[in-house]
Parts: sequence; structure tokens; C-alpha cells
Amino acid sequence: MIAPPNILQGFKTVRSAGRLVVLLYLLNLGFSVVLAVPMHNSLADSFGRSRAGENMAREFDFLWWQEYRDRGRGLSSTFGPSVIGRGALLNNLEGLLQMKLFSLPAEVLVVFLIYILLHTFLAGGVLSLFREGAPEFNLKRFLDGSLRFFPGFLGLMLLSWVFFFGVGFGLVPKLDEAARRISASALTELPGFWAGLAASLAAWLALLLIQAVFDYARVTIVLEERRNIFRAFGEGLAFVLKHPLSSLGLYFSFFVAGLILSVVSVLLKENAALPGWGGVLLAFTWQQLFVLGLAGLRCWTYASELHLVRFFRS
Amino acid sequence: MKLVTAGLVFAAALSIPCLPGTLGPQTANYTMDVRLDVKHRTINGREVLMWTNTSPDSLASLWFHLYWNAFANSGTTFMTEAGLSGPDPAGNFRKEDWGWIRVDSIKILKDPALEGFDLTPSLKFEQPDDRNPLDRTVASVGLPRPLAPGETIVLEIRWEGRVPKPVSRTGVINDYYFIGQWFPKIGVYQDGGWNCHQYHRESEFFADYGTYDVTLTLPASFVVGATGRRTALTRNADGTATHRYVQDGVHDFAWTASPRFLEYRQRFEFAPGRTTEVNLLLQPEHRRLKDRYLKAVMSGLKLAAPLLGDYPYDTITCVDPAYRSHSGGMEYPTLFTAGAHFLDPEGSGNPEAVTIHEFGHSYFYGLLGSNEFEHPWLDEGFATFFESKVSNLAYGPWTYTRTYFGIPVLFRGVRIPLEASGISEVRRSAVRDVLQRRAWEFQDGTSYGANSYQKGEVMLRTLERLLGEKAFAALLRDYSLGRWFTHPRPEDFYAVVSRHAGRDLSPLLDQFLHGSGVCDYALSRIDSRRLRTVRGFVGENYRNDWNAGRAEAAFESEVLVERRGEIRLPVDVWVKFEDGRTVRETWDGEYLWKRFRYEGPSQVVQAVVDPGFKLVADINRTNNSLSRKPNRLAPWKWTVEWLGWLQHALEFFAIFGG
Repeated sequence: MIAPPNILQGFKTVRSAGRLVVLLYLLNLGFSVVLAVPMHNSLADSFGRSRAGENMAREFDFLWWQEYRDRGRGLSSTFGPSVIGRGALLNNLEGLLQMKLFSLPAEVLVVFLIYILLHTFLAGGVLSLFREGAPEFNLKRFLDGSLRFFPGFLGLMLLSWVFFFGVGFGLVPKLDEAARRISASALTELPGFWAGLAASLAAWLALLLIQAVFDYARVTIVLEERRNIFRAFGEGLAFVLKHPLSSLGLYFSFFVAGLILSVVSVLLKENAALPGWGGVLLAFTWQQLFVLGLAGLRCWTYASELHLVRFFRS
Repeated sequence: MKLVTAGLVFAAALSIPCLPGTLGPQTANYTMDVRLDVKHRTINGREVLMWTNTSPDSLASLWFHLYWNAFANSGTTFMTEAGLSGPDPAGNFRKEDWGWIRVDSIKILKDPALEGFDLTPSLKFEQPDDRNPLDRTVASVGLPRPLAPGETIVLEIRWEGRVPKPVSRTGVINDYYFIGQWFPKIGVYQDGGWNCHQYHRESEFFADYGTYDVTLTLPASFVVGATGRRTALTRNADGTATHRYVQDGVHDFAWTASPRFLEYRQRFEFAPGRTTEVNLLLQPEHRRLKDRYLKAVMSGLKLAAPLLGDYPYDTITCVDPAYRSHSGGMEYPTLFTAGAHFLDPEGSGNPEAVTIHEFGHSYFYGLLGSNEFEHPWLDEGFATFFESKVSNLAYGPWTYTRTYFGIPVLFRGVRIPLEASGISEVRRSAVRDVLQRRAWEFQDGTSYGANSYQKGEVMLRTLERLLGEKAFAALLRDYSLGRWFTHPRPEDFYAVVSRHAGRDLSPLLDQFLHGSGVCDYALSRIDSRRLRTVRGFVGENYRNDWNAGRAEAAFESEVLVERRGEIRLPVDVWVKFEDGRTVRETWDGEYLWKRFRYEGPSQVVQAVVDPGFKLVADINRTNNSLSRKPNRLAPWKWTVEWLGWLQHALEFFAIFGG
């Protein structure tokens, strides 16, 4: 098991690139604000000068929300009690595993798509910076790296979509169908329930596996200045197959860390709420620290993967 | 066999109309001997029906329901209606999955002149609702001589039924049998004709009261639940057991059997000196829900007593239906089915709400015997009102619950208030029909549900708040107790409402029952400005009577209230001034708007139309209030919450980009 030392090395690399993590976090915030402004306006319009506003300042007014939901179109249809606290995580997980994100309003999907493209663009910069060891963040070098690797990363992204959507629209319906078949002949709801849960877990693992392989493919592109994305993908896959414990162990360690961070964040947020403006500020601050943590974790994953690939090649 | 036949005839002969010591009228008394063949999934039955002509007419024919023929082919009225409103319910049926009922013979008994007269040759199928020749859910037989008013006829009917795969409320799946609407059942002769409708997709049932004495023979390993009290249980040498159930004062008989049932019995005192035995038949995988089921039934019993009268039967059986049995959430006399998921968390309302709802039917469907074909709201609207009222009294508001990956997740910060019950369905779907409509004539199932269940519930809750909780409780009790076993109609309810209100409330009720309009009162404007003395030429001399006008210390304020919906109801308006003074106004709610003007030392800061939340039917509650200043915290607070979801989503879905 070679992963732990590489995780440590990865941490040292990320620690020296704190500004990079902050930049990635700010991009997340910036994109979110693009949608948050119209959402704020929609809520403010709906509350107007009514008592519903006073009620909602104290607690969730279910009656108001029912009316808002029944009349809601577009962005406002995404607001509901289930985006609060743990619901946010569960909604996103469901959106990914059951590809429900495609039922989100068009404006949200467009922002997501642009963000994903930007993320792809910046990933090249992140990895090229980390390739240099423990770098001082330099915006020009960062953007140079991003530009240099963007064509390859874009190609990999599109190739990964074939697999992601193959899982989402091919494998998942088949697994669901299998679960339904089990359910249809079952004596109780239990076999169907467990089969459905197993199907979701299998889909989840498949998606994570795909991302791990493409992560290593991206690392290969940066380390070896590859242009051929298919070869890079092949090498990423070969690396995972050759060193499954280390490569996937490292990847899943970070995934579990992200999961723990999310759960801790939700628990803290749900149990440490304050009334009034102080509560709003506290919730906002806590959320930003959480997103900053996620951005840091993503960079840390890249840095550690890079060290791991280097280790096996040296 | 002859001995059994004689016994059955004797037992049937004992049941005469209005027999002292029995509950309710004895119009249609059934004595049945039934055998379930699990191998062939058939039921062989023999019934002795003693029916009394309570009408002023002489009758030349008798009409019967043969409900199971709804599942005999894809062209029946039930199957056609179900296919139109969704996927074909029998799409994957194999030959052995279809169900039917065949009458083998109908003979007259206990008539010296016509003893043994065979009516079978005169049997013909009727389609009173749609003339659909493929529907054989109603049949009639001609009588050799007219049945005079007050005369009683005794018939012996032999039949065979094939138990269908469950589609709607009845059937067999694995070793779970739920048997409802299953025997040849006489219709109701009313208003000069037979009220005997076909089996429809969106409809329930209607029948006359009597005593049921039913003997069921089935495998001994089966745990059985049925309408009424079990008076005998005999183990037979052939591995079967014979159960005898008897119940008077009911208009139907249903039963269920499965070897998997866990059976719990508990005698419960729901009012001083009044007890009933609560039976729970539970699926083993729902064992953890036992106490919650029992508590829900007991809450229903206890809270119904002061509202609707003491539950008069000695038993109530709650059935937790088998998975995929399509038999959940259905009411029968002294027996009902609920439904649950093994993970249902406490506070979600499952299975408590459905249990209370179905128990509530014991009164509206059971004891009152409303015609569910023609006035579905008289049953479902009342039962839904009962469900939310009793649930709220017994448990408080439910907690919002969403299911992720099959796991129900409670959102503890989000409670669902009583007033939220039903209003969303009314807002979205009830306007497509009117409330008082025959069950199968609604635009679709959604509209049927939104009207019969939710609009009925919302109307009753609005009425309750307009009249006051105490007065409405008295009204409800009067409506219930005064009409047990009488098949009340909407006009009976109108009469009770007007009597308790002290005035004719028909116009108010008509708006809900015969109109598709909505209720929406809105506070459209509050405004205050400095009071000014009059400006202009104020005297008769004009030229020398110019007054420049000046602001005074006082304010003039205006509150404008609008009626934006078609439903007109009296409504209160509450106004608050800056100095803390409040005023309460009343408006008859008739015209499109009403303006209230005030002069005083301070400005209006807030006004609310319907401050006491009497108009539960108001489909837009948000526009009922207006303050001078908006609350700025609320949109920020919830935008930040939503932002948390969005930011996480962006990071989460970045998986697609690397």
C-alpha cells in the first residue's frame, strides 16, 4: 500500500498552493451568485410585504411553500424543504445517481455546463502547477498550463461523458429494471428495497471508478505531455488496473473524506443554527468553509494522484 | 349437505326487518357458506338472502351486483376506464389472473307457493350506466309474481368466483387473499328504481343494511380476518378450518386470509364503559409498526366518540396489506386495510394517517351508508376531514418526509400544519370539476380525488371555522348519530348545517358543491398619508374663499381588500396602527372589493384579511396580509440555504468535468 505517503506529499503540495484553492472556491461562489440573485428576487417577490415573510424569517412556512411550489416555474421550482441541510446532499446524490439533474431548469443546467467546462479548463492549470512540486501560485503560469492542456482535457471530458451517461442512461435503468423485477416477484418490499439500494450503490461505484480512471488519464496527459486522449485514457485505465489498491485506495480515501466533511458540515449546520441576521451570516460562513474544504480536497486529490503516478514510474 | 342447507335457511329466517336487539334495519340479510379452494383460486359459495321490499312499489325484478366480473375481460367498464386514465391494469395478466363470478342458480325459498322456483333462466346482465355489453357487473332476475311493498323474499343463490390477481382492492397474491365485493349482492331499490351501478374505476359502493352470518372454510394454516365477530372456529379433518363470522347493522362483508399474518388483539375502552376489540393483522416485516398501528386505531376510536358517536360494533379489524396486493387504504364494515413501508419513521404520518382515515369510514361509509357511487364526497370528503382532524389532535402536525433511494428521510424543521391538508390539490385540480358529481363522471382520477377527498375536506374545515369548533362538533354529531343506517344524501347535510347555523346556508354550500370557483381574498393595498385641510375654493363666494390647505397632525389611512375568487364568504379584516392600536372589521365578502378608511394619530402598519384563518379554502394565503415594510431577513435567510445546495451541486456535478 503506497498511497499514504503520497497523500502526505499531496498535502504538502496543496498547502503551498493555498491561493489556488481560494481561487477555485471563489469561482464556485461566483457561479452560484449568478443564480442566487434571481432566486433571492423570486423569494423576495413572493414574500412581498406579507406575513409569510415574517414567518419564514422564523421557521419554514409550509403553507407559503405549497403556494410557491404550485405556482413555481424555472429556477423557483428548485426551492423546497428538501434543499435544507441534509436534503441538499441527498438531492445532489439522487441527481447524480438517477440522472435527475437533467430535470433541473434550463438556466441551472446552463450554469452547470459552463462551470464544468471551466473546471475542465482549470484542471490543466492545477495539475501543471502541481507537476512542479511545491509551487508558489502564479496566475500566468497557472493559466498557461490551463490553456496548454485544455484541448486534451476537453477531449477527455467528452470521452468520459460517454461512460458517465452510459452508466446513467444505460446501466442505471437496467439495474433499476432488475430491482423492479426482483420487487415484482417478491413477497415483501424488502428484496426490492435492498436490490434498489444495491443498484444505486453499484451505479455510484461505477461513476467513481470512471472518474478515478479519467483522473489518472489527466495526470498522464500532464506528466507526459500527451496529446492523444485515447492513449491517455488507456494509460489511466492500465494504471488503475495495474495498481488497483493504491490508485483506487487513494481515490476512495479522498471520496470518503469528502463524504465525512459533508456529513460533519450538515450536522454542524443543522444543530448550531442562530436566529436573525447572525444566523444567516453563520450559515453562509459555514457553507463557504465547507465549499473551500471541498475545493481543497479536490486539489489534494489531484496532487496525491500525481505523486502516486510519479512514484510508480520512477 | 341437506342438514347444512336447512340450518342456513333457519338462520336466515331468524333475521327479520328491524329485529329488536339488532343494530340497524334488516333489509338485506345474508347467510353464506363459502369454501376457498387455494389450488384453483376459486370460491364456491351458497348464500341465503332474505330481502325485504321497503319501497312503496311492487317489484317485478331484483337487481344484483356481480362486481368481480369487472376483472373478467379487458372490455369491462372498470378495465376500460382504468386503461383510459393510465397503463392497462391487466396488461400483464395471464389467463389464470382474470377474475369472475358466475351465478349457477337462484331459487326462491320459504314461499309455500313458489318454494324452489328457479329464477336462473331469467337472469340477464344490465348496464345501467354505459350500455357496455362486455360489462357483466350487474344482473337482474325476473320474479314470477310482483313482490309487494313490505314483503320479504328469501332466495338461495349458488355461485362460483375466481379470485383475480389484485388490480383494485381485491384478489390474491402469493398466499395473501383479500376478498371484497365478492358475492352476488342485491342492489338498493330507491326512488322508484334500482340503484345498482356497474363497477367503475373511480367509484366505491352502496348497499342496504342487514345481518351477515358467514361461514368460511379454508386451509387451517390461514390467519383470518373478517367483518364482524368470529363466533366459531372448527378444525376439519381435511386440513381446513371453518370460521363463522356474524355481524348485524352492516351493508357489506369482506375478509382476508394469509398464513403470514401476525395477529394482535386488544380490548380497548374508548369511552367510559364502552369497549371494542381491536384486531390487528400485520405483515411480519412490519412488526416494528405494531404499536403505532394500534395507537392510530385507538386514537380514531377515542376521538370519534365525541364527534360522531360511540363506535357501536364489538370489533374493529385493521389489516396491514401484503406487498403488491393493491388492497391498501380501503374500508369495509368493521374491517379496513391501511398500508405501510417497513422503514416508515415516526412523525411521517405513515401508517397513522391512512389508518385513521380508513377507520373514519366506519362512520360515513359504514354507519351512515352514504351512496359512494353518487355522492362520493359524503364519504371521502368527511373521512379525509376526520383523518386530518384526528391526526392533528392525536399527534400534532406531521413532519415533512422525502424518500431517497427507498429510505424515508424526515426534515424535522418542516412541520405540515393542519391547514395545508388538501389545499394544494384544491388549488391545482379541483377547478376541473364540481364537487357533487357521480364518481365515474369526473374528468379523471386526479380530479375525482381532488374534489371528493380534498375539496370536501377543505369545505368542511372552512365550515367548521366559520361556525366555530364547538358548534360544528355538535352539527357533526347530529348529522352522524341522527342518520346511522339511513343512507343520507347531500340535502340531509344541508338541512343539518342550516339548522345549526340558524340560517339557510345552502347558497354557501352550493358554491363548493355545484361550483368550480375558488376562494381567494387578498389584501391589495394599505396606505397612509398626512391628513390635510381642504384646499381650493371652499366658500360660496369663491373669489375670496381660497384655502391653501395645510397638513395636520393626524393621518388618513386606507385598507383595500379584494375578492379575487368566485367563492363569496364573510370575512374578517384586522388592521394594526403604528401606535399599537388594532381594529377588527367584518365584510360580507360579496362585492369584488371593500375599502376601509381611518383617520387617527398614527399610520396603518399592517393589515390581514381573515386573521383567524377561518377560510381554509383560500387558495392564496400569502396575499392575505400586507405590512408597510417587507421582511428583509427572510429572502436572505432562504437564499443562503438554497445557495448551500447550489454550491454543493456545482462541486458535486463537477465530476463530469474533472
